Amino acid sequence: MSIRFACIAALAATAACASASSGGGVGRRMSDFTLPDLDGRQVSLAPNLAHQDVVVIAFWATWCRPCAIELPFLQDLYVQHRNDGFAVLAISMDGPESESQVRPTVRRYGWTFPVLLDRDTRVVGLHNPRRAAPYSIIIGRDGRVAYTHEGFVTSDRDEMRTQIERALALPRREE
Amino acid sequence: MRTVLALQAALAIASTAEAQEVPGPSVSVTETLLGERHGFNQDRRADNDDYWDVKNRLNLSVAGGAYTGALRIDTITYASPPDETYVNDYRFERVSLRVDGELVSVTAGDFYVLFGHGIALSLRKIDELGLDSTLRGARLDLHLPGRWETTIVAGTTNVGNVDEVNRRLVEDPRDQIVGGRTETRIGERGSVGLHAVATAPRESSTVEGEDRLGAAGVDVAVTNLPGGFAAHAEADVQWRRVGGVDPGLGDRAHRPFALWGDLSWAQGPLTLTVELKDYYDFQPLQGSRDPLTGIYYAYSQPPSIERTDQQVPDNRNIYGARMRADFRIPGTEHALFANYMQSRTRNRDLDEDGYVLEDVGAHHHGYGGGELRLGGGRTVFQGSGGYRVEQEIASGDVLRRMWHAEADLTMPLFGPHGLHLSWIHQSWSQKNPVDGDARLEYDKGTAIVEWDYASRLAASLGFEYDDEVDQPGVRKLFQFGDVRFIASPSLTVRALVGNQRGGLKCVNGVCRTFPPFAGARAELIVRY
Repeated sequence: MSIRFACIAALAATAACASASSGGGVGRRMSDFTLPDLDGRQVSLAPNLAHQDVVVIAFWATWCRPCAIELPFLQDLYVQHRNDGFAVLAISMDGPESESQVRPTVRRYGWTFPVLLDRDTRVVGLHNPRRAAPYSIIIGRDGRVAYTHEGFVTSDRDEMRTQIERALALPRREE
Repeated sequence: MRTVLALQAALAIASTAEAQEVPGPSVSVTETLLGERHGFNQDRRADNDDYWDVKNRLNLSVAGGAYTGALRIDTITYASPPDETYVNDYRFERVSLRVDGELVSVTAGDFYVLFGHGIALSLRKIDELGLDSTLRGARLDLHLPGRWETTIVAGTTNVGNVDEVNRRLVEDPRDQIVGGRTETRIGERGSVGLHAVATAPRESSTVEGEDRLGAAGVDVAVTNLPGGFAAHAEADVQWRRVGGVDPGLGDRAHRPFALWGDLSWAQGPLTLTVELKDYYDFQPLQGSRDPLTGIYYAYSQPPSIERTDQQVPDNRNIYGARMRADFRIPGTEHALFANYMQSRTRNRDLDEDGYVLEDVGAHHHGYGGGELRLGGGRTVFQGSGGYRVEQEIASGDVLRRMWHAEADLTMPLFGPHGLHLSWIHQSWSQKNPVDGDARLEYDKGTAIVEWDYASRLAASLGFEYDDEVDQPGVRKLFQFGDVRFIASPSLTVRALVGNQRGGLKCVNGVCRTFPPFAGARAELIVRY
């Protein structure tokens, strides 16, 4: 038991040191993923990274009430900024029990950004291991995480808007 | 030990790469440290009072090129535990390595997996119930992007070892599971999938022989059709050997099956959805028995067509339908929705001609609500309510009925201040199992007032009530205070003091009884 505990403690300490220069995952490069959308088409993050888009990855679920506040807000921002290279990928954490409610919910709110299904929670497990809902990751034009946020309350609107517009203000790199 | 050293080396390299701004692996660390003081929770049990615990969960993932590695370390340490069944534990709970190629992906270690709609196989994390099972073994994914996907899995089951409900240690059941699934796209409008899965529980449910369970099925998705239609359907059959004997064979053969489907139609502001299910003697993919609860581990979860948190009387021998209408009021952001669900449970009996099915219970549940959005969506009010009846068909008696209401208001106050009010309520009436003429009546609910400031601070006061157990010494009213402080994107601190109600919590027909909480809780969430 003591060897195992020592190993775990050493590993935890190394993990903490490994990324001590960044907080909230900010600054780390976002790895690509591919998930099906509501029509079964495979959607990847890679094209957005290649275009140097600012991307919000929004983890949500039909049973999550704060998500019903955050995602309509992201839809407004998406309509406002999509021509500036702004994209939203909404990843539903609904399981089989509530997956049939995803499409009506999307229709009810009129979301036009891609809504993806993570049926076996592979992407959630990697990028949102606490399975927090809502949980948002803003990726900057350099493909690195610019901001992360768990939950959504009224005053989060201004902070999220500021972070997204700050990321959009940065120019794309010359190819 | 070698694994640890290799991972440490990888992390050290990652650290150096990041410091020098050289493109390297992407390292993600999420750590949750939870310390709790459990006081006297007044649930008539002494074995869960007056102790401390500290629980830590470290999630680490490293992605670089085609490789993705993930690790989770869980630890729990007790102080002044009530008895010797509370055991300190430190372990590598999840370890996995995935390699992605153009046509092939291979995963070794722990992974979640779901086939189709979860009827045959569903190993997922259900945080609300503290359930967290993975398959520890190997997974092979073959794919022609956008055209064809095949998945083959084999391994043994690995559960979260510190039970979230009662804080005791459970060992992994290590039930063997093997399965495969293939799915192909049909143009731009749909897909067809086939799957099969089999399990061999490590422990049999009887002493006579071994248990074996298996299921196979087909699922179809047709989406994006003209006229705004979309549909999904799945059909599965099941076979099982209990104690070495197949109860489905013999001169009165029967084969358990499951049928599920949904059809939605969207036109303008209106979306209609119909969901159907028909499960005949279809058991969840069953593993060994959980030594703490005495309940068998289940590795599949057929959709229930009920509200997500509804207690479902029986999801094995049941058929029914749910209809849902969603309507967005034109020219506004306001929306309305309505649901009606009806289902019937049935008994399977033997008579001279074989198996006979008889409807025994009928369930009706209607609910609906609306959402009002004002000020460009800054103020949102959501309200809903409904009524449910569960009836015994033979006698016509109402076994249980319940009405429920929910209200939720989010609004800005002044400057960076915001307000959130929420209330959920259920009133139950059920037939007294001891005295059939009398009825048990009880209410349960939660009301919360929350204030938030500048996306940094949120403080709430909660009030709860639950008089289901109407006995002396059992607490019926609960109060708590909760503060959440986001110090930075990497650090969130949360603290709770007071009492919270326990009781039955359900997700998709799976229920667990949680003890009430009394004491204090502090949580530290760190992300790197």
